[in-house]
Amino acid sequence: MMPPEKTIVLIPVFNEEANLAPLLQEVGEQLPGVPVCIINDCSKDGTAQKLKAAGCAYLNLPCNLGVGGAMQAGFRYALEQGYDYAIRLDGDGQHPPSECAALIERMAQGDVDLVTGSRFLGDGGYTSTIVRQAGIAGLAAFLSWACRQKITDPTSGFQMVNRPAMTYFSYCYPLDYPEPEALALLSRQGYRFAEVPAKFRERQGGKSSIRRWGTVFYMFKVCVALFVDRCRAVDPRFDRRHMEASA
Amino acid sequence: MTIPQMVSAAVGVGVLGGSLYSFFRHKTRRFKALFWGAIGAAMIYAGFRPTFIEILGPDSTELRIRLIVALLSFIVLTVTLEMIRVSRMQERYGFLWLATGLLLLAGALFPDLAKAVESMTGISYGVAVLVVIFAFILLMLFHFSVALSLTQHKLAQVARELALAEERLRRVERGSGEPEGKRTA
Repeated sequence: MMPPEKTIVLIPVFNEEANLAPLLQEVGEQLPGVPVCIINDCSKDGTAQKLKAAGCAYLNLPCNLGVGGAMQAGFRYALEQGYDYAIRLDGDGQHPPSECAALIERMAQGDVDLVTGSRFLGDGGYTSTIVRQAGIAGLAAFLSWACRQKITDPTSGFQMVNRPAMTYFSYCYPLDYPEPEALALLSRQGYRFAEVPAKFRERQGGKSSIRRWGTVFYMFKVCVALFVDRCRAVDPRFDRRHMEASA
Repeated sequence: MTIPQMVSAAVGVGVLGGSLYSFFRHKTRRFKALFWGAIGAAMIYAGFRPTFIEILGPDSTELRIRLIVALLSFIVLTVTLEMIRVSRMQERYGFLWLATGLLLLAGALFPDLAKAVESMTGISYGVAVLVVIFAFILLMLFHFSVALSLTQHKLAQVARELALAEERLRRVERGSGEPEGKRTA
């Protein structure tokens, strides 16, 4: 299924020199005609040089902000350029562009603001370390409770968002490890989201940005953030219900 | 005259002489020269009359602690003011330091104040000073965490704006308003 008009693919990259060209080629094949914007989160390898020849729009962040900061820059760009939908693919090639069809299809039903590709819905066959899987399961349970909605893959960054959600994210998006908190914030602000099954790949090369101790820190940071976010007042400017009433 | 007294007097002469010399040759500021001159004079005096601190009161542990605290608060106050003066520190971050210095100074100058605290809380003067210092250090650390978070937030905003502006500039330099790679389906 082809994405709607005015859709952009946002790819945050950090030291993904080797993955860049194959990924772009794949996006070009699977989503022909869809513009791409790569957000280079101050990579230390040759990514910046590769980007010059990539033939697509790109943003070079002057200092490393974390994937959340990079995505926020991407959302700002997409809004400025007048796009209505953004699909996020990770720069390591974990999210196969061929799987975007499911996201686009779900978004086309028009009742949600954000669609996540979940590794754990359907027969994803995803495996990882035990610590990480336990962490994800715990997080999923906590987040499902916080959002009053079943969430199977809270850490998935394989997402498609529409313009209202982008508007909110361009204003407020966590800097590091943003995905679970972003869902919680969305639900708090009255946005709706859904998951669709998606097959992920092993990363194609390079190293994961989250290391072993990072997993523990990740869990801790996200749990604190989720808890505190529940105590935060709903921002009336970005309240989805309010936006609908005024539209 | 014992050897430490002689050393003290000799160093005091050097310090006093140096401060006077640099003051009259306009190499240093009045305040700085006065500060070092006073230290030099005190050292010379201490060389001849080691018991001179008894002028301040009977030589006791409390008096010694008061002297140390007074010196500490003096250092805190001068260093903070100097840092603000040469614009190495913003006033807002200096306030807590100044408050610490002033509170310590008050405690050193007015022993009755310290006695009142002692009778209220039951902790002795030396401990109370430590409590004050510790509490202010905690406050300052907290203040720094807040300031750091704010700075990081602003930094992220600036970085994003810069990246967007740079992309726009690249587009303008290429001479087309359209972003690169915008293909029509």
